[in-house]
Amino acid sequence: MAHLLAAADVGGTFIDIVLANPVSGETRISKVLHRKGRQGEDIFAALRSLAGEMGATLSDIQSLVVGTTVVTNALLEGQLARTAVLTTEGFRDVLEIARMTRPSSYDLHKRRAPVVSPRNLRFDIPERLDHTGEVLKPLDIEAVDRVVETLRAENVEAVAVSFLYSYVDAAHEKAARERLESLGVPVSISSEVLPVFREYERTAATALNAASIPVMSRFLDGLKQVNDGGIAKTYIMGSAGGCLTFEEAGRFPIKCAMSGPAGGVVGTRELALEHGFKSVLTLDVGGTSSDLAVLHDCEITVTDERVIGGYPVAIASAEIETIGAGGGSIAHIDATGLLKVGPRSAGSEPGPVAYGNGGTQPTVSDAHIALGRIGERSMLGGQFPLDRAAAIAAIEKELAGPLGTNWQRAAHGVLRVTAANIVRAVRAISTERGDDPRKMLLVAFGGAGALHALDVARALSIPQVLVPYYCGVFSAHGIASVDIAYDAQRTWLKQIGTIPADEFAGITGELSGQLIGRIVADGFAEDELASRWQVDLRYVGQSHTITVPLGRADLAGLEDARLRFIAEHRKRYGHASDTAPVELVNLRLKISRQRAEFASLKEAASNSEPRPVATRKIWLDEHNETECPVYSREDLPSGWKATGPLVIEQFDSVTVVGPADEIEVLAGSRAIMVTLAAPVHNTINGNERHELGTS
Amino acid sequence: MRTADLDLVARAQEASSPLDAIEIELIRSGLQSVCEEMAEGLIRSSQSPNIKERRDCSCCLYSRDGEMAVQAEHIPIHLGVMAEAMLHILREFDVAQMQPGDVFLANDPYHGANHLPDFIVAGPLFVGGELVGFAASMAHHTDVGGMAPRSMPADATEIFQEGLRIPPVKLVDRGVLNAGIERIICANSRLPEERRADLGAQIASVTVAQNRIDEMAQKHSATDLHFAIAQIIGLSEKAFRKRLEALPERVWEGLAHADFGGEGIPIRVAVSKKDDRLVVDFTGTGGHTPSPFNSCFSNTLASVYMAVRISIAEGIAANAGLYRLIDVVAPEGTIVNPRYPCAISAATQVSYHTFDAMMTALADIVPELVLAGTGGGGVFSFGGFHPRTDRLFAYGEALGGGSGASAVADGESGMIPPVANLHDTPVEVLETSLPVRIERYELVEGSAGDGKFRGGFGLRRAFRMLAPVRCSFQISMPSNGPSGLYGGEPGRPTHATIEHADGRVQDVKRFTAASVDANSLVTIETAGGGGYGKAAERSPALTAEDELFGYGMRRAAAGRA
Repeated sequence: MAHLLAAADVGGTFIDIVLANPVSGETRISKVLHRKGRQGEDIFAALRSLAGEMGATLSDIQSLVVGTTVVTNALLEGQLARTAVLTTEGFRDVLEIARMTRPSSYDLHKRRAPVVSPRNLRFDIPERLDHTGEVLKPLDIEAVDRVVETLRAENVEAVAVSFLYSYVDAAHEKAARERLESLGVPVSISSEVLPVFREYERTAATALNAASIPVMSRFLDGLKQVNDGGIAKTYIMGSAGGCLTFEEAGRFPIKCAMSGPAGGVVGTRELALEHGFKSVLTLDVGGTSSDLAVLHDCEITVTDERVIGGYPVAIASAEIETIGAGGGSIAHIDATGLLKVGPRSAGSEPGPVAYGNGGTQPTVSDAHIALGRIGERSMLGGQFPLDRAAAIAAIEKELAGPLGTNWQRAAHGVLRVTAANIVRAVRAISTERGDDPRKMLLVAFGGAGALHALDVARALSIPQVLVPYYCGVFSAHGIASVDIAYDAQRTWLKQIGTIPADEFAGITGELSGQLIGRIVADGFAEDELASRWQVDLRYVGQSHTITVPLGRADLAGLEDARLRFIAEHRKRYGHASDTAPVELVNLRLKISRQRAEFASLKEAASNSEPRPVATRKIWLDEHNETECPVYSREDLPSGWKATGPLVIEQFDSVTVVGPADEIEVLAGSRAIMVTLAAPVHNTINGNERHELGTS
Repeated sequence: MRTADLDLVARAQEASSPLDAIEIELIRSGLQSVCEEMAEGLIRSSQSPNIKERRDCSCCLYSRDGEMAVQAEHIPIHLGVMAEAMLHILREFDVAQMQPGDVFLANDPYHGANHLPDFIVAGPLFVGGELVGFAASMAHHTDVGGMAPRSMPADATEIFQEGLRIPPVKLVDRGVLNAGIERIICANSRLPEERRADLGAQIASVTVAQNRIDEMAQKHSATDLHFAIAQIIGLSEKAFRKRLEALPERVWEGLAHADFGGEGIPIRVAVSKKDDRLVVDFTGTGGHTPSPFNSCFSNTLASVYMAVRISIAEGIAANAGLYRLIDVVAPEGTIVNPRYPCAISAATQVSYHTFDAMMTALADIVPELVLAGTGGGGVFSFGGFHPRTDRLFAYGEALGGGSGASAVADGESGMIPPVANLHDTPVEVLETSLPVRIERYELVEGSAGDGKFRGGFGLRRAFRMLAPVRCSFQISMPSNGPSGLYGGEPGRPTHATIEHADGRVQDVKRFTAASVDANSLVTIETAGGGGYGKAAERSPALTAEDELFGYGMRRAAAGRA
């Protein structure tokens, strides 16, 4: 019987693959190079070989969840399909005007993202509703037919329709779609992609959705072909923390624009559930960027304010803050003489100086290598030797010289400035939301997450850091058991307290009816589904909303939601009114179907006291080189405790534990809990503080 | 005060520094995060559409001497004005008497502020009882009284007609709000609840700053924070001085015609280097106008700072370190420094031209960084009784136009001019809350100035009024389109009309106040951007693309075929 769970996380450079037995906990991982256009065959080849190691075949795999950057990359690289856009008469240029704003206040030469649809493929159609849904001008269906004729000659690959107030009444959009479907290309309408107010953001999301359907379809077809019935169920990871059937991902590829990063948040949620962590902050540091997110009570926070490649993607996605700080970020001295890190990155070509691929500008990775935090043979089991001397020379020349200091201080400076940049991003998602990071647990993953998390935690007075066992392939591991989720949202502007019960029942019934229709069409039974409502509320007169759960989809539930909103407003902004009128702005519904739970991962082979595999000299602070024991992650048994300084190495990740920091390997997940040494407060001398600030 | 500061920094730089470039960067990064946090809270909890939807607000931190030190990327014109406004507050209030929890307020352009709707709310920051600096926010309030809804009257001739003037006052005394001031402000606004909420949000942003400084103080002493702030300013000064040293000793002249209808008013600027300082002299600029189209001195300073920041000082953190080395000469009685009590609410529209005059002067120094003239439509405001709520309402918006072309690219279309980066108000937001229908919001074809690189296209926004309203057209660039550079052609001027309910059509050719009936249609077509380089040098590929996209450039296309 099919019993194994599989996941693949398709990243920029590598594809991470995980295969797990949820009953025994046995897990296998592999990392293969990402070859464009051959993801499907590479994923299945890797899975076949992992299954073989476990004495199984592809048909033993119950499900495969794929996290993919295919949509993200299409947005970032402008490789979108040739897309036509139909708008309400008088609004042909809504995409080009783009809220009238400049992309930068001070860089007057910075360009907006290219308009998704060129002007000759944008058409305005006579039709108009007002904000209550009243028809001011009926749809001119002949005008739509004329557009269809024009487009026949234009070889468009997709069409988007976005009319004003279609979230109140979608009839015009649906009528237009009916005619446009004769073109034989995918048609997206805004009342299905994003039925919420603000015409630019809604139109952009709809156009981007249409424009990424062809690229997503090719990706899905590729996977289907190589699978050929081997694996029973296949899914695509969505942006909001659930996975989508291929059908749903094909309809709404824009819901997968944050597919990759969402995996890390899902994995963290699993860990938080397993160990009962309340508030968690995640830090995923990769080669060019860092992703951060916050989880409360094992709930993934969701946002509509995502911007990708300069495009607003106002589709619900896990709230992840991304900053340009990664191992490849370049350190430099700016015009005023201060040390800065990023946002420019050496990427994978030429990469850090120590990679010996022609890089000359010191990067964050070079600082780690110079200080001995990453060993010359730490990477990928020693298959990829690093040139430490070159890293030191570059730091001396480019940084220490101009700063008038030694390379050790400059290298530590690079790490501290990197941590400060990450700290600013942490604040944006915690303190700016009224959360206190000192009461949170920091979970670190990604190739370099564990290398920076301890510094970040120290700077924010976060007491503990958790490093998951599979921290290098954490996203893939996280999505293997993720729930299937369908979600929908809709603007419905009403003041709470004035809503008739039957109207509310009508609108919620309509929303859930549409969603359940899609779910049943995809082959699921209604009784295996769990519904979860949320509402976006604000004070009358405000513009921004706060999303709160709606326990029951009725008026009593709305009143509870209003009280929660007031409490949340006070927490975030320090003030709130108990009596000011509150209005409902958007309704959100998520329907999910639970899949599987991982059992505990398999224990380490031996329960005996692990022995260091080596020792390494590390500049733990800028003045002292300290001999540190190096342990292999695989050797560490559950419950093992130790005190730093020490180093833990695994296939694709390194953790440097500072002096007096304490670690414990947690039973079950085998994650390492690092309890940071109590800080020694010092307010006299910057240099002494500095020694405390590094690990 | 400035001399004293220079001494302080000089001493600090000579003393063996306890903080190096790494430590200073760490503190600077923390302070920038404070500014970002202040603004985020303000935007999310305010009620003015201007703040919440258009993000017309800014936050910054100052040294304990009131010099601008750290700012997040907000509204350029605000940040320049805030540098000046703080100094005026400190002129009125003795620093030695200030207490934790004090908050000050000002909006009067004749006391260093911008125009009356822009409230600056500032408070001292303390660490262990020692003053380390100040935090301030500036936000555009929708209505502060005066003769027209939204306090941007087109026909004002004195500042008294534009709204409530607030010189620097203490709004909060050791944490206790002076309710009398709040009541006076609310009583003078057509939207008192909104004023109360927005003022509350601004006060809260100062509290946020103090709370965050308290957190930073767990790791940095007051002395360290003060020292780092002084260094942040000092390092910018040093870097800018180096740039100035590299400039030749000469004068660069710039000219723009400030245009609010009728004859343009020349803004003449002579930029020169004198004793390693940058002197920006507006002598020869035309006189102030009997209208709100005047730029108070702080606004003029802000335009100059912005122009310098993106050109000669490109890449240097903008703060008082730059401002110390810039001397601005603006004779009183000119449009860039009007004599009290001139009206002033359209100062930002004047600054479009002040900025352009600076661009033409700086073009020879940094030709690759400047832009040709950028179009904008000015500010259109209206208000009256809302038939659905039977309450007063007031609304207004700044309209972007075509951006000026650069040495390497066409200008972008429908973009807000550089000095104030604002968002538009979504049609679905506007119509849901106000008695107006936007019938068209699109590009004005053919409005760009041609060139090797053409300008961007202006915007057409058509407002169908659903109730009788009083309109205020502080219209920008109605006579002369934004100028081209290096042979590029000017963009098309702004064109506004009112189709009255009775069929009468009224052209709006200058600043105009007008009462209109329900069902009238106001259409504003904003100016296109100026071109850069000669049109004859335009690449055939770009010309063909303009034709394909239907941009209506009406070139002699036949000749090329």
